[in-house]
Amino acid sequence: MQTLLHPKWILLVNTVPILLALLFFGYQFQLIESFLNTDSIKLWRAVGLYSIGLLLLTGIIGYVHKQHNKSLSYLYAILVLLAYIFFLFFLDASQYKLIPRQVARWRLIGNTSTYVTTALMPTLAHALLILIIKLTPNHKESSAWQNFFGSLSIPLLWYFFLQLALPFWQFNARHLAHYNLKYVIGLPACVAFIFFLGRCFYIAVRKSTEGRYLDKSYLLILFTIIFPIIGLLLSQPISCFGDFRSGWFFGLATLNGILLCWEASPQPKLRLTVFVGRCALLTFSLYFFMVFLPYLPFSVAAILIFGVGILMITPIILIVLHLKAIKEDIYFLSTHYSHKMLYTLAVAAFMIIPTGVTLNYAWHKHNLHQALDYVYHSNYAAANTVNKNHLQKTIKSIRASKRNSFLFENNNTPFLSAYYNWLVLDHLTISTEKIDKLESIFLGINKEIKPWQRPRPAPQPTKGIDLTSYKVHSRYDPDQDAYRSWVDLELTNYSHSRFGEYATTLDLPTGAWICDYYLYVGDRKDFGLLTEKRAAKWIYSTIRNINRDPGILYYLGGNKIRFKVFPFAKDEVRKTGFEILHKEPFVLEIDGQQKQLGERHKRTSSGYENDDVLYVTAAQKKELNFTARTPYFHFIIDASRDQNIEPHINNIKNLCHQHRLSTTNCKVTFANTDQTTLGLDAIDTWQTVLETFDRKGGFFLDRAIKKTFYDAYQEHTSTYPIVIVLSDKTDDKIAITDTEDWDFAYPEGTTYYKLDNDASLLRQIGIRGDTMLYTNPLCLLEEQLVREYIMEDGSHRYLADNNQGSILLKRDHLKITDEQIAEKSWASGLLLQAKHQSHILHPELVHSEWTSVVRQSLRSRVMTPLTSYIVLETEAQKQRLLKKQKEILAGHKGLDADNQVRNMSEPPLWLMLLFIFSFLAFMEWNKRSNQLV
Amino acid sequence: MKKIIALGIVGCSFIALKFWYTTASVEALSFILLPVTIIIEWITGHSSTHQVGEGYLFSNLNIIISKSCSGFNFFLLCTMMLLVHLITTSESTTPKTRVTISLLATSYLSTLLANCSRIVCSLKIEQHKLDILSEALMHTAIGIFTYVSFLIATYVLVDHLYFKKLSYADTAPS
Repeated sequence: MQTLLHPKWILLVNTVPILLALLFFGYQFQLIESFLNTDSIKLWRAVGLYSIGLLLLTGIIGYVHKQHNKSLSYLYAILVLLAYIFFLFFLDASQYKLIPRQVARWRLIGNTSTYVTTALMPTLAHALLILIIKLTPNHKESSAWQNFFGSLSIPLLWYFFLQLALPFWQFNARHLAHYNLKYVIGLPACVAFIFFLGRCFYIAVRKSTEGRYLDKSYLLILFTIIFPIIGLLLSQPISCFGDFRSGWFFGLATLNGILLCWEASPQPKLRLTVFVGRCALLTFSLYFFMVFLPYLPFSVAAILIFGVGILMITPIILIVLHLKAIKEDIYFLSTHYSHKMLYTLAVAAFMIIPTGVTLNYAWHKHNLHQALDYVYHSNYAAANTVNKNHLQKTIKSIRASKRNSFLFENNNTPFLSAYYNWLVLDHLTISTEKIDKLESIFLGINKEIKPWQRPRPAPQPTKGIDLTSYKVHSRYDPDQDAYRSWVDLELTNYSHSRFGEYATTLDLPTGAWICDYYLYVGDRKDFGLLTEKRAAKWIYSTIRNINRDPGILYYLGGNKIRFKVFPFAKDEVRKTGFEILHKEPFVLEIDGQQKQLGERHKRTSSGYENDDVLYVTAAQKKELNFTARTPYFHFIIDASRDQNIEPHINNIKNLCHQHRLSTTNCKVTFANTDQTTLGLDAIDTWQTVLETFDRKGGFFLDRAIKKTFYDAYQEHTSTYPIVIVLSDKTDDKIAITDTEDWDFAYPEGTTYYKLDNDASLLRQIGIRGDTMLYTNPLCLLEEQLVREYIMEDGSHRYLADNNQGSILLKRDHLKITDEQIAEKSWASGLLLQAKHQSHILHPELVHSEWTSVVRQSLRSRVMTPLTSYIVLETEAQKQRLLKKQKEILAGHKGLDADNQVRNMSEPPLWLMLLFIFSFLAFMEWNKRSNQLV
Repeated sequence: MKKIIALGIVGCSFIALKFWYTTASVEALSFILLPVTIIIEWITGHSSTHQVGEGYLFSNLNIIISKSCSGFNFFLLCTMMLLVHLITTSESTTPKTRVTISLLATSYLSTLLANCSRIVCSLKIEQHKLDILSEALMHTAIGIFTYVSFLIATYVLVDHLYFKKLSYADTAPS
């Protein structure tokens, strides 16, 4: 124990933890800096400076002691105790200024106060040990029992003080009472308690070498097996220290206890095995030591109130016993094996648990990403490989991190949850809506949404803002054989609203794209900024709340575009407009008023074709042959958890029987998380099919429908599916928003239907409430005429006969190079639209390609479904928008947008210094070991 | 004592150069930025344009080699490491000027190689979009791995080439 007085310990118990605390402060500060006010930022700086001051103070003291070959003195211990206790007081008193309550807990790395206390506690404990060692000289006989009673007297004195003295204490200044009691009286009492207890233990350990205390195996069993397991059992009802319910904790605690109680064997091989086991489980003892370190002072109260405070000190005793056992092992084994081998084995064994935990978390991350991709960027040709049990654990962790309380880690496992959040979630969070969706799809758990949990409805546009002037000006551009038409609008607010919003939906034909936008702000004509769509919608919504002057244009789905202008004062007239690039003349309808864009009778001469994409003009289309594809019913049955399939099967049979439907071509898909499709002829084998299904999942209708569309599209046959859903769920639960995006693949339409439970009625599912009922399903099987295009490879494509051009993909995977993109070029718009269609067919490509598509859209100034035009009033708003866009783009892989050029920065210097010092220290150690040999 | 003074001079030079670096312009760092840019151009086959005050922009790769990518930190570290090793290893109290200059030249060459390797590795590995770490962390991890590997390689190489000879020369009878 005397070695603890060596100044080198300062490096381990002070310098390293304080450096870690500084790193922790730095990272935490970066995460929440944008939420802090000036005072808080100043306070953070003060904390940083104080930490550096403490680091320098202890470093200088250690250096001076080392230079003079002196052991650490009383002075050091007292100075450190005072300085650190003051620091803790300072942190505790200003915790709500450092981390304001409005900062969401999930943004933080774990529990700040706990982690900082953990970092400071080793220094405090070391200082206290120095005092104990200095006050317990070897030559003087000391009694462990006296000190034990001394420590026991502290809580007893507290008890009498609280019961007898306090009622007579007329002290009404709340703050003073709080701080006086807590710090002026409470802290010295805690220090005295720990001092006496530590001294008691120190004497016991010292005497144990004489075979008087700890060699008694019952004490060893008590502190290494029984107390840890009781502690873990108690942590289940009293979870204020964290969630330790995992069976791993119990298993490791038992194994650790057995290994520590294992009698020292004289056989080197057996001893080596035990040594490796002990080294591997040192991380376990160390983990609980770190978890309970900050609660050490609370053990006074714990002993007083619960009488189980001794369990809180157990991890500290456990780590001492663990290190002692390892030291004895090394002492014994070094006579049989080389030091190098022993230390290598020790380090390798020590890394087993951290490596296992890291690999497990990395797998969880991979699994979560797979689940998110399966839901939001699904590859229709690939099967689901998500591990549902692991996903369940991940969802549980995410939910727990959202519920994290300020002081205690009730729902989290200390350190491990923070590490998990950092590694798996990268300190981002997933919205509750997305978590619910993942849970619903993969686990079949549908959360009941309480009225107050429902998202607030979007603000409705103001009635009474009318289109009072609508002018168009078209210009034919012979270079690109396309029109560029400006649409100029005047909007007037006839309502009484002072902050009215105008909103309308434009329906553009295929081959027409918006390539510029303006809005008058006062007398100034401001041109729109083309940006990433989510960033634009975010800034629009924030500005909408503070009544400034934005206007926005973005795609809703298919070729529908939302157009909003805000705000309108009473009777205010606002001028706005946008430019459309289009190949062919068309009529644009806005709020019931129609205008011709381009010259009605003058068609452009040609379409467009390259290796990937083909544009067929309306005139070319008229020359194509008519054909009629044969529709067939494709039934999708809800096979999710707890669903009874049999009535749905009977419904299909009844429907076929009643209307004498031919089962040829008809298909049935059993859908939950996964989908299995078979011919209607084989419907009787449904029980066999369901046996292969994991019935845990929920009804993932979105994927089932789109996979049906995808599979049918890939076949390019002269048939097409009419999707009929069979589910007990209500219509609004099975309404999917974006089937319109598939219209390019299905000229006959992408509407789908729901079959009523008595098989008598088909209900058309419409997201805009346009529900239609069909009593005779056969009318859905009437053939519709479409145009047939034969590709170069002989395959057939089917186009809608709608007096518009059509875009055909020659292959699903397109590659657009930057050289193909030019500003306000119709061909660029076509390529970007084709890319969008490719992403509809292959959402799995979006993840890797979307930033390049956004960048190309920005470069061409052609608005796509991924971008949006917005007019902002001030430069500050533009900067905020670009910052948000940068954040959003940085959240995904791939190349950044134009203004997001990556900087190939060097790694931080301090990290390099750390590595180099470690390397030089290793070389020095190696050199010395060689010299010793 | 002389060794302590020499170490002190190295330490102070390190701090002074680090301060100079924080205020230095991109153009002032051309001696290290330009060769790196030329090597990257040669390896990747893409050309760059010089942006005054910002660095060298590779628009096709969507990257910029600016002041923070110059490798100056590596150069400082490598030089410091080698000089400290020279001072602590050599029996002679006054290191020879010729050796010091050789070490500086070695550091410079090592910096160019390390920095180019780091940038090329980052470009190549980030192309594969590994899902293990975030982009920034992956970039830092690649940087640390490359730099530490080059520092160790430089140390081992220089130790064999210079110091073994030096210590032999120091201990050899004159």
